[in-house]
Amino acid sequence: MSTSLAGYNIGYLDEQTKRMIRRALLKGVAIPGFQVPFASREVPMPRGWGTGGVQVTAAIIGTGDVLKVIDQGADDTTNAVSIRSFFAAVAGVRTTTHTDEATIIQTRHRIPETPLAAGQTIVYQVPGPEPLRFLEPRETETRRLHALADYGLMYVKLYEDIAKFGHIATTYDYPVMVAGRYLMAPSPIPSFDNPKMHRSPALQLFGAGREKRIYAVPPYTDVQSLGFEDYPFEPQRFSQPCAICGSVGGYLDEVITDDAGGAMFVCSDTDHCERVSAAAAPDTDTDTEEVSA
Amino acid sequence: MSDARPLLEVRGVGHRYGDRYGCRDVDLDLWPGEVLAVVGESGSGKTTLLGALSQRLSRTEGNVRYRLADDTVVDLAELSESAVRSLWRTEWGFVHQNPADGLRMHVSAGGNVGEPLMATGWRHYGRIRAAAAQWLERVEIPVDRIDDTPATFSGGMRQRLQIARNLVISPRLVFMDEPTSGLDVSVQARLLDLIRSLVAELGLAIIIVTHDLGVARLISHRTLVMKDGRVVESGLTDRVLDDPQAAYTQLLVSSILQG
Repeated sequence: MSTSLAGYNIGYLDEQTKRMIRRALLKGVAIPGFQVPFASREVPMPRGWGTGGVQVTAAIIGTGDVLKVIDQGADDTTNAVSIRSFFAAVAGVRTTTHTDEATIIQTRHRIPETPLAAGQTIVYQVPGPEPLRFLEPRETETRRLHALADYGLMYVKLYEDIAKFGHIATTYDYPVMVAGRYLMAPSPIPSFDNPKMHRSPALQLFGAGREKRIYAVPPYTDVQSLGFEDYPFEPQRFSQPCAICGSVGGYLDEVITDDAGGAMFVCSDTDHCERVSAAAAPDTDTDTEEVSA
Repeated sequence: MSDARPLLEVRGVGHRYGDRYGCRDVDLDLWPGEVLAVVGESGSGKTTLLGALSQRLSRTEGNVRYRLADDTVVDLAELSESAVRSLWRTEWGFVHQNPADGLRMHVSAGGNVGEPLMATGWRHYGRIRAAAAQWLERVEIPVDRIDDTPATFSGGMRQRLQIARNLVISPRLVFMDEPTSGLDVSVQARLLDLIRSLVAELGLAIIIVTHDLGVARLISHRTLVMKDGRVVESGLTDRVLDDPQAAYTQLLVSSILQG
């Protein structure tokens, strides 16, 4: 595609910054689930909009990479489109919306429905990297709890859910145990996606720009969602198929269609939805274009 | 159970704040099932002593030897942080003067009592809840309040909940820092009654800090009187209170208002 912008280093960040982030990434990969502090930089977007993910992507991207960016599963939302065009401009990489073509997938809130393959890297944008934060506000104390693997507190949260709602009502950012050692916040992906992290062949990297933390799950690592013996972890289920492509078993978004209570449930993964629609009706290609808008 | 050695052997313990001593040269032995009261005026170093013994303060001098459940004796200062934490999870309890310091005020009563169990590896919701309910009953909190947060409880209920949370793991040693102050007399009496019956039932050892000689008289076997960071007198509670030897203890005993 295009070559990178004049006056910018490839991948926007300077090489020393990339080196610093890569060091944090290597440490993160070496200690799965451990939050590594890093010197988060300014990037041309506000903190909280995925600056951690952008910095991780910038540190690992090369001109041969193919980048896909999703936001809530969709390739066509503002954030996804602008991050994609940002890296197309500053790194000169090819971008795609097809999960299987991408080498790097930066994501907010979803893991694609298409299973990830070995050699792919998924970069999560993380707003709050500390799974214990809302139970224990002190950073010094949460670090100590991680160091001592003292995770009884997390179960208090799940206990409270069951006591209040009769089931574990945490449906996103559902806490996981990585490689039997570190408790980790999987970023606000729905609990529906949690099982996809377990022994995934792809490298999973997490960047929290505002909180200045990086962590990682190497390929084929155990990622177990917490639960009680009598109330085990249950990912969300959807009873109806997608209203557009008709596929079942995917994660659905509710789309309000009118102001009289009408709503439809459609795939949140737009790539998956288009793919299923195209396979069902190969001659109506223009319709799927319409559908994804 | 062999009680040939004390649960806690304290020799020459002191703690310094800067170049000032909070307490110093404290010697004591605590035996299983024994309740030891530490009395004295405010500023006499009672709470500092409790903090130093329970490893909540980093001790500056002396040594504290503790006999573990498996009868090995350890020097607490040599234990790693994780070993001390594991003692807190399995063998020790700490009841704060202000229940808000010892409870999670926005977690339900059941969650508060269940937390120590979950920290020691309980992973069965039904059993955790049943144990919590049973302990609420034991400390006279209505079981239908199990899903209410302690923020909605009265002071006395909060203190009883804190005691339940500490005793649910069947500790061997419980530290109590003025557990009854700030409660009105009838609630105080019921709480002391409860502590006394639990001690008898569970064979706990307790070190209780109080400025109230009545509390010491009611629940403790032995009493330690502190003044300006030093122990001025110690002995059986009845002996210390009925026949005080040290001048300060005499002053303390005679300053109780006689009804």
